Amino acid sequence: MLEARQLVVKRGLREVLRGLTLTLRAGEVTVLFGRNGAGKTTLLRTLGLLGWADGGEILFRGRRVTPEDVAVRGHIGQVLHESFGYGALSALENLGFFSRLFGQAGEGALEALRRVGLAAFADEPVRTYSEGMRRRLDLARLLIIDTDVWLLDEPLAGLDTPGKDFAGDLVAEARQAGKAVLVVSHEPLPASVPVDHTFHLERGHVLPGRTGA
Amino acid sequence: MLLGKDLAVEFRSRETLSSVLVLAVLVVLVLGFAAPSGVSAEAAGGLLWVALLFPALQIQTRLWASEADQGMLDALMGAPVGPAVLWLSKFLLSVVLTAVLALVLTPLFLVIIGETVRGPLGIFLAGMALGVIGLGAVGATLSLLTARMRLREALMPLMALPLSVPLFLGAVVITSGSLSGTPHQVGLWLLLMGVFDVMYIALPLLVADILMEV
Amino acid sequence: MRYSQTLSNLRWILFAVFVVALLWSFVVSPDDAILKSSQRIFYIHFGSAIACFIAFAIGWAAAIAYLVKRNLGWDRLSAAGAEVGLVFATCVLVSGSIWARVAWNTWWTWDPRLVTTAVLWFLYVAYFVLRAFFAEDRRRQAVAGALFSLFAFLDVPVVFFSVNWWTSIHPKVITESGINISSPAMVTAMMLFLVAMILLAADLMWLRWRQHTLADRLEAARAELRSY
Repeated sequence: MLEARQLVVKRGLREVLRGLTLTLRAGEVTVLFGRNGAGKTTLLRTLGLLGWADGGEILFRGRRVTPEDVAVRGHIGQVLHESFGYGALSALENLGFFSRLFGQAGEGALEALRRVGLAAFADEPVRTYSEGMRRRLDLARLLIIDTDVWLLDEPLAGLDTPGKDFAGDLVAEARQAGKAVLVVSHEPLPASVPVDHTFHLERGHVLPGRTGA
Repeated sequence: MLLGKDLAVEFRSRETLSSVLVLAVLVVLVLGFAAPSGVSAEAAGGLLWVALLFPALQIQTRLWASEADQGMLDALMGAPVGPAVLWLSKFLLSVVLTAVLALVLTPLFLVIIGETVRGPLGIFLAGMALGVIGLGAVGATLSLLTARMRLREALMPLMALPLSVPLFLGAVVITSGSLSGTPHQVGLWLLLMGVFDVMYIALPLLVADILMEV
Repeated sequence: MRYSQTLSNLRWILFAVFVVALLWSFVVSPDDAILKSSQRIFYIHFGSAIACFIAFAIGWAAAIAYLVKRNLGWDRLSAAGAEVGLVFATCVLVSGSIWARVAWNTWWTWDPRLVTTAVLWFLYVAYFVLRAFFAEDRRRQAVAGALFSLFAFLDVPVVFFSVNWWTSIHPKVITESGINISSPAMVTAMMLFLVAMILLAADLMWLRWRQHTLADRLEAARAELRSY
């Protein structure tokens, strides 16, 4: 569904991704490992249409897309390296806002919060949240905006063990639902998560991989 | 939907506004100390804008800064909302906040300095309005450029003030003219400010996607 | 490189033009009727102003070219143009100030052109501070710089007109009506300096552009090494 072909991305003057090709298909979970600085975040950002590529192309459902294709972004949900949210607003308000931002009705926020275990804190301003809680909020956001593609940058970081299990469950569910999921991770995923493909990002290329960093 | 976001953003910005307002009131007080026997109406116009300028710059700097600090820049970019819309929402926010600043500051200033608007009120208000809009536009743009930078508070005034010189000149001329009751060349200056405003709204909208890249 | 022979020839020409210009302005051209000898600084002042403007204009055009083509070479030209422009702007301001002091006994006049140059000066100082803050990310540096340059230079005509109108309200302006460029020798001196300044600006821009290119190459090589 979402594909990178011969992707070349430079950060400044250095080529971080050099002719990288990767395909994410519906209903499949792809896991990507890589050292720090290998370019995982860059790859995720480019796939998520947050940054321009210097060469190659990104295809969504077979069509070439660029960060200019604003509408396509509505199909891609992301959990980025850093959690985000408006500190002064409550979780409920944040989710509602995001939902509306993605052109949806803004409902289902409480339900999503319940699922991630944050229902008790739904009305608290996000700035009071701990790291783990914010990560759960990120996941809740994915639930609520319901996109076709999930790009997850180290989603397990900052989560406690039940949290990680839960994240794994979410990924499995997404896979069932036919989403294309890409997970970038340092650590192995919980065993409950079915993984369809594993890759290693090294020197700007994607290599089929061994599991484990 | 634009409105929804705007409102949400404003709700938060109670933080920004309160500190800026306090600063503004302080500035006016200091000006009062500096000119205890009042100043000429001409000078008053200039002083009012000086008093407005620095708190306004604070507002502008924070416009995108809070987004960047909370990691929202990527989030907003990753949403199916065009960059032009994002800029527009910040611009409107900026205008609203600066307008509140002006509404609070101006009467306070007039009272402390001891002047009144002798000329036509409509012109005075028009001058203020165009000035506020212009500041809002420049601020929304420059704030975006400096959003991810460490020392943005230092750089913003450095960039914003020279760019805003025409706006400032126009605002001062019209304001002091209105205060002293002898407006000069009002039509010309209103036109200039209008052109400035249009330019600084149209241009960022055109290059909005590039602006977001930074 | 291949250029160096042509370049050093050109530089000899530049040097020659400067010498002639200096000679002309000091020896051949007569004293101005009112301002006497001090008027000669005008040649530098005027030449610098034109060179400054041309440099900034090139910088601006290059900024647009970069935003469209995304080739860093354009960004380097834009930066070079801005640097040279800033240098010449400083010359304009300093020579203008000296002249004002000598001719009218004041260090500063509100002449619209001078004020516009001052604003321009500040704008481009801000430009360089902006670029400095983005030193880690070359691409962002280029984009931010180009965007700011875009706005800055477009602002210039607006600034000029606004100051022009403003000074008509506050008539403390002393225009340089003192200069009647009557004698043809004066005109020649002016032209000579103009050519000299423009050539100098072009040469400096070229040099700076080359330096930026080399610096970028060096940085790219370093980055490569770091990534292993």
